Amino acid sequence: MRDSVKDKLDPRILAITIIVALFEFETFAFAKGVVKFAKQDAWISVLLGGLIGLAGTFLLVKLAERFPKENFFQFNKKIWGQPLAFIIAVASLVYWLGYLVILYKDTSMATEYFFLKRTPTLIPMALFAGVVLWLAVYGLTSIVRFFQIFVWFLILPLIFVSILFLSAVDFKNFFPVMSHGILPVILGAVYYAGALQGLEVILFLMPFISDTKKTVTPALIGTGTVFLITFVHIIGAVGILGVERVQKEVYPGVATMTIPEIPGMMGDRYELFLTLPWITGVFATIALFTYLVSDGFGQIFNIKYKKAIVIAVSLLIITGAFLIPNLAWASMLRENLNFITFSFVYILPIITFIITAIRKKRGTNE
Amino acid sequence: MLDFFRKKKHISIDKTAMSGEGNNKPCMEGEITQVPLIDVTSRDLQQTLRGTKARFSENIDYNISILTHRLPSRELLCQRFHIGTLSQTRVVMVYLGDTANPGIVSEIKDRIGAIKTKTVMDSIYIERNIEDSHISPFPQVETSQRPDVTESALLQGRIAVFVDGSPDVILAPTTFFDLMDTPDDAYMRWPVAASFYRAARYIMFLIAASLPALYVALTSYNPEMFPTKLLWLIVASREETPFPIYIEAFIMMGIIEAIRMMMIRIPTQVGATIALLSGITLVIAGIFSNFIGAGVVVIATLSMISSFGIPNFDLRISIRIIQFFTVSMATLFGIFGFAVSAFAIGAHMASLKSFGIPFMAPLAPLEPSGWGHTVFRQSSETMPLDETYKPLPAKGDFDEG
Repeated sequence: MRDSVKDKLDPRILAITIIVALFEFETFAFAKGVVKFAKQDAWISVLLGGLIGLAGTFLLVKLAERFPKENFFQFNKKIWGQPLAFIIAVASLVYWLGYLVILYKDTSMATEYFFLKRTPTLIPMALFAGVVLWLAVYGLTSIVRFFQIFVWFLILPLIFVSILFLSAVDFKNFFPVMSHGILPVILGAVYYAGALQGLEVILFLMPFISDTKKTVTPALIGTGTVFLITFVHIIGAVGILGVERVQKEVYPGVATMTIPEIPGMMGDRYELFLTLPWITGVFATIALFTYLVSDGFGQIFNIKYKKAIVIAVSLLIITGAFLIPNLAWASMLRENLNFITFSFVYILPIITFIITAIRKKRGTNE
Repeated sequence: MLDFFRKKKHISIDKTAMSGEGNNKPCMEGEITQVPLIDVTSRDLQQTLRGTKARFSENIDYNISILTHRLPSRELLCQRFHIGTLSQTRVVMVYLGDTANPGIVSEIKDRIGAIKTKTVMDSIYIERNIEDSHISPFPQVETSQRPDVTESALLQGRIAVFVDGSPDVILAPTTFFDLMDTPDDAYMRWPVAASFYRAARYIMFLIAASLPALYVALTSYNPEMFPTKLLWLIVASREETPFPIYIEAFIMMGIIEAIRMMMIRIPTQVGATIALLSGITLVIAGIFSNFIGAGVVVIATLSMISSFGIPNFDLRISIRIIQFFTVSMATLFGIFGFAVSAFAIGAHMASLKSFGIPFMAPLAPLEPSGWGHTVFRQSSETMPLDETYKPLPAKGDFDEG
């Protein structure tokens, strides 16, 4: 049956997709990286980084709007030429593969740390990958529909947690302001902007959107929501734990959550409200990028066996994840990846947008 | 309305329905004859305080005549089939010509036309043959014995399939929200109350599907996530119980299923009394002899009660089975296993379609215009209509390939 009538996505879902795509492991660990650079001024870094993120979102939407029927890999050929576009596409795929490997490694370590201390991590990871694979095979519209179902389980507990955070913040922890100058703050901002990994989904989602002219506002709402929640999160992490402890904690987000106590509330610990959104966010992000990598390989190398690609990509990622020896390695790779993200999510699309604007390139509506 | 049906002893029917001719013609067109009205008896399924008490019967002519009486429009079209090489069972597909999605109409027609069988004993055999996936735990068509529900479905652009000999009319396409819908929602005066009870049903759905699994996961793997006082209570209730928590959970869930089956097999007051008595006896004896903890009894009973908040029988049964799946996953992998099982169910729901309509519409894909009579019940003087089943403009067409 030609059942495509509902496969075109409403522009408003861009907000949900961005929220879910951006939330992953890093949402609860980014504080450590930002504080490493900016110390008690981490909140300023997040503010600046958030503005970079919002500007990046706007430019990505404007770039994608010019080619409403094509994704990044397709319209790139018109802008950069065939050989350069091929190199950019392959580099993007390698970058995503690296990102997924780190994400799986983070997930396997967190699973061992929080949930299954004695189970070999390969078993839960294989299970996780199996469900990811199942969803990725159904394509982007199914993944986005999945996001729409689960976004409530992600966002509502996070808002609840954010409100709890604020009750225990000690504002003395934010002083003195800018005592180390502006450079650490800028480095922290770049690190934070890099932690907003997933914004590039805009470049791939546009062909699925029914009215591409109405995508700016939802995209900004999506990034803005994540920005707001992470801003509250950094205020909570520094304000509750203090600079030194944030740097010592493996998962500052979870450590922060163990501290607030609200007399009269039904519970006295709220880690669960952080744990479930965290798993949901990680799963959704992995599913999305597994699809993008598999689809990218299919497009670039003209391979038609989609299921086989998804399976091969999943196997490759899990193998890669188990090659990373320990947490220290994973943290080091993650920090470097955040800076590489800055190139792929901001610099490359901005240059592409400038070239597109100068050469007045546009896609067809056919 | 009830009085009308009781007073009127004969209902007009369409003779062409019996001849097998006149496909795609107005249902009310043709020679009209009178058939005796079969006694209208209220049934347990889909009982409401307000609204018609009439139900479809096993006579297809009577069923279609009720519908033509409620919707005397030339747009009410009937497509007739004879299915079954041996039984030649009459199957009639009914839809509103100016409302239904032509793509869905032709798809259902093709699927019914392709059925190859000796006999059709009930509408379930048509259902199994036309739904998109019969491996899926979720029903992709709705069945109803109520003429008003059928009328409402037709007005939304859905298609009704009548099968001779079956009082259950198939309504397609169907989304999750259709299966969670009850006629009471539409007949309740105050929309806030209707929305409240609707929201309560969704919460009950979630409780039924996940509460036992979450309990097993938390108590077995991450008890530190419980509030301290609650944890003390749980620990105290399990102090002398011999079995692990997951065994207790499976035992309780098994007992509940056994009692439910018993009530179905003995559908009398005596049966209900026996079931109630045996259930209470088992639970009290189990708790007092320390076979099972009180916590698991509370959780299992709460999830059972919640499952009865799901109006559709097939969906309710599916959720009970899904409960065993989620508990198994939670037993093996704790909260992680519970989350993975939820993702697997969510992934399936996100990819499932009913005749091209996403199963989770209008929540996913997001269509807030349809929330007024699905997720909530909007305040309106007329029946709220949405775009869920309508074809989108051609420019919206897209195939993921």
